[in-house]
Amino acid sequence: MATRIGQRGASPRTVARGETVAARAFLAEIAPEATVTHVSKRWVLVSDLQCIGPVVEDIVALCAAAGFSPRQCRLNVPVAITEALANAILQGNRNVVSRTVVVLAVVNSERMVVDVTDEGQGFDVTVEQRTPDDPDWLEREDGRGIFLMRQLMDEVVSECLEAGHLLRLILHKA
Amino acid sequence: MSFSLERMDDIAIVTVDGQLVVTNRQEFKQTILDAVEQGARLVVVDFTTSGYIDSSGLGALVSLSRRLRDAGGDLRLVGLNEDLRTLFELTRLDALFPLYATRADALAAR
Repeated sequence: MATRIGQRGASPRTVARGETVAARAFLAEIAPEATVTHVSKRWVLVSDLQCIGPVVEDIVALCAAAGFSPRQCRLNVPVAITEALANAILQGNRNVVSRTVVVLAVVNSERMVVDVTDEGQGFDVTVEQRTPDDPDWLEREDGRGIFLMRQLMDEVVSECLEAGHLLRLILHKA
Repeated sequence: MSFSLERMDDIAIVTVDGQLVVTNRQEFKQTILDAVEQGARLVVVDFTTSGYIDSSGLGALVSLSRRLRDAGGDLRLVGLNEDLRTLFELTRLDALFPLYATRADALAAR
């Protein structure tokens, strides 16, 4: 069952699939007019918040290389990915460092799709629909992560797996 | 991300350099809480050299704002670029925080 919502992330045990950033840079050097049409990269992370930054930077770099707008690269992508990864580590994996978060980013000339899978049981989207219209919204310290992901991405999908929870973030190039 | 704190009487100015996110919001929050504990009542957070803020960073600001109000003080934000302003508008937190263009504006409005 897939439900519209958000996604999560992982750390520097990195496994690259398909073309890597280095490969793209090489292609750009030998054929600067050529457009790389598809890049995917996968990370398996321990549940440590310090893993978030490098993965976010990598995904932003993939999007920038694919021609996503500066605003998307400065705001939409890093904020939404940070939210997804923090959710996976803190909520999904309950901050248990040995639990892993798997991140798969696929970026092409049209869109970015990032899957974040944790070992948690997922969450009920219907009770995670907090919006600024909620009476206590302005005073809340937490509870804005999913809202932000939905605002900054074109699509957010949540899916409970047999062992874990998948959050998928989709953003079309502006 | 790093941040620096300047104190003048009951004023504290915090400069955020880089992202204010889940990995550093506690340190950020504690720095300001310590300043409030030591008498700061007007806290100005300068985001001129900041990157992005996530929901944890926004939450830390909300919490600090409440703490300062309870102490009879005020938390003011300055130097937000267009991206950061968008975040505050999306979350409607622009209604909670007084946003100023510069430090001088924030201090003059006292």
